Amino acid sequence: MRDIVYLLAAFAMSYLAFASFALAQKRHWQAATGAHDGKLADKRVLKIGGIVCLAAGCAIVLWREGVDYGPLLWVTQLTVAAFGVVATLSLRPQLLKPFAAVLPRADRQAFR
Amino acid sequence: MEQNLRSSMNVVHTWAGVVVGAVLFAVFWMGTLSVYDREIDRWMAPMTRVAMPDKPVSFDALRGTYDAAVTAHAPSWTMLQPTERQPVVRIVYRDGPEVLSRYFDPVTGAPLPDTGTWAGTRFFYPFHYRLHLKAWDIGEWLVGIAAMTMLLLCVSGLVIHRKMIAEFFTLRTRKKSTRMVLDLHTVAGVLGLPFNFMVALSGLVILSITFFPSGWQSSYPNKQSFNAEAYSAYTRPKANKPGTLMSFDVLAQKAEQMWHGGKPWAIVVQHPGDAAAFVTVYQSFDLGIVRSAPAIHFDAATGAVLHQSKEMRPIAKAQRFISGMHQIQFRHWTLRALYFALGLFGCVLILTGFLFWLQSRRRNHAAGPWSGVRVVEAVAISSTAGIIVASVSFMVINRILPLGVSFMGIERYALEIWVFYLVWLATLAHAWWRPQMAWAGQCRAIAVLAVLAVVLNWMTTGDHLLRSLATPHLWPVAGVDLGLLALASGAFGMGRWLLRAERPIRSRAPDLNRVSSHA
Repeated sequence: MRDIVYLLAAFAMSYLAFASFALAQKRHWQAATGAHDGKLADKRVLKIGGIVCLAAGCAIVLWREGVDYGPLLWVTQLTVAAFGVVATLSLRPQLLKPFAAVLPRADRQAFR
Repeated sequence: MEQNLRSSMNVVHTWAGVVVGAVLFAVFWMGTLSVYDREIDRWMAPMTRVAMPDKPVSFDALRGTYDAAVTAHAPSWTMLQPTERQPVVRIVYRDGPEVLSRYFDPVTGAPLPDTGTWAGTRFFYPFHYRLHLKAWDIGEWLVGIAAMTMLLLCVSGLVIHRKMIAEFFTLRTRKKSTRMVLDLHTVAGVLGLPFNFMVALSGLVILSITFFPSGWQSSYPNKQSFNAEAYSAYTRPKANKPGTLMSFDVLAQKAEQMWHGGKPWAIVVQHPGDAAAFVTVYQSFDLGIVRSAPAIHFDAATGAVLHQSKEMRPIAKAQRFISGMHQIQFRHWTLRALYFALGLFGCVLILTGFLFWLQSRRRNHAAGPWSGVRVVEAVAISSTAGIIVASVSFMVINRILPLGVSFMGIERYALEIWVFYLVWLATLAHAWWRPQMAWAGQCRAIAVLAVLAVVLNWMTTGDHLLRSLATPHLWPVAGVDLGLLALASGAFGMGRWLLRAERPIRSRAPDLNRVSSHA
């Protein structure tokens, strides 16, 4: 049971990582928030946060599964998490709105 | 220069995909099913739906089958103890040209009725790597070519993708169907790249001895010496004199002591009945990723230790690690589920590749002097939707045919296989004669057959979904039933979408039947 919780945590980290990378793009940010004007998220925070989440997911998997299964599990669940973000953005982008709401905004329009 | 490379790679990607796509889909689909081959076995052979015993039957309890193997002059005899995924005892030996695979109750050792099916482990799994074409290893070579092409498609796909970062997460479901199909193809290709590349490369590594025999032939006089040095294998020739055999359980206990408590899982006797017969005791293969198990070889008559497997050579270990990563025999349910999901994404990648090619060329090809588009369309439909229809039909006929039935001398398991190939052929004929309706029609057929399979499983075994979900040892059956229902729902939705998406495209394109008859 505890293993399942840790695996879900690792998957959630990977999902958040890819969601951060996606929201760093103007098109996906606008689709998620529904706002076509106003301040956008701080791109640098999203990218660094995404990398931290990826590393955290990797660390959880390696800690629980070891160096034998860990890397294989991390790479495969990473792909499924990325597919999950694509499906969310394609079918229900507004599901990412609560996540976008807690992100710090950029001082100026950072998207080009 | 960059433009030239991209355009050359585009041509390579397009035509390599069109030519090899059919074999690739068959390999991916069967590989995906093989991830749960033993669960499919339990679904298709209800007599094996038993609980995992606390204490399995002893090795000596099935000594009678060994005597039968001696009488049949079998080159070897194998006994596999129950595992979590296959909780029955399995005996395998050859009787003339036929390989006999028999199941026994894991507690009493009583023989279970003949399963009468090749199910997952003997039909879907070998189809994945050999297409059931054994002569001159043609099947393995075809699969090898497909795997090489997959690597080429992965690399060329990356080169031709212009906006990889910008469109990394892009799937425009509300745009016109051609755009959506291309987006789906791109997303499945880019995100699935690590997995697709890994399975293609590791598949080649598994069959490397077939593809590159000069590798071992240049350094070893024969395959035995190669196996002995690389994998620490053991063999000895027959003495051609009758011999005796000591207790399997004594040998298993001796092996357990030598492994300091490591549990014996399988016993293989080479040259049964011969004075040079030897017994190999194995631990389970499911303890780690590396596809290897500790083994001890005993003299069958005296029980003397002939050889104990040592650490493999580094290259051999690397090869076994890579093959273990591909063959997923290890005990890890999460990884198994992830492999299954990624295998399905691979199928989506190939299907959308075909669809995009057809949607973007159908009009021009049909208006021109070529009839190729119709051929590609028929092959694409039957090799994607058609093989799924055939696979589900294989499971449906399994629940309809009574045990022990034969028709014109064809045994039950062979009848199931005949149904698979005949249905597959029928889907090709359907796709050729009714290309405008075949995609949606075959998707509907998948949906109906998958639901029928679940209902027939309930009617013939009593194991309906609620019962199998409530009974832990029937969870594999519940999993297969749920997979079939998910397939039915996916195929139904896909059929509806294809019907809607194809209508405007086809209304712009000339009638393929009419055009190709003039071409």
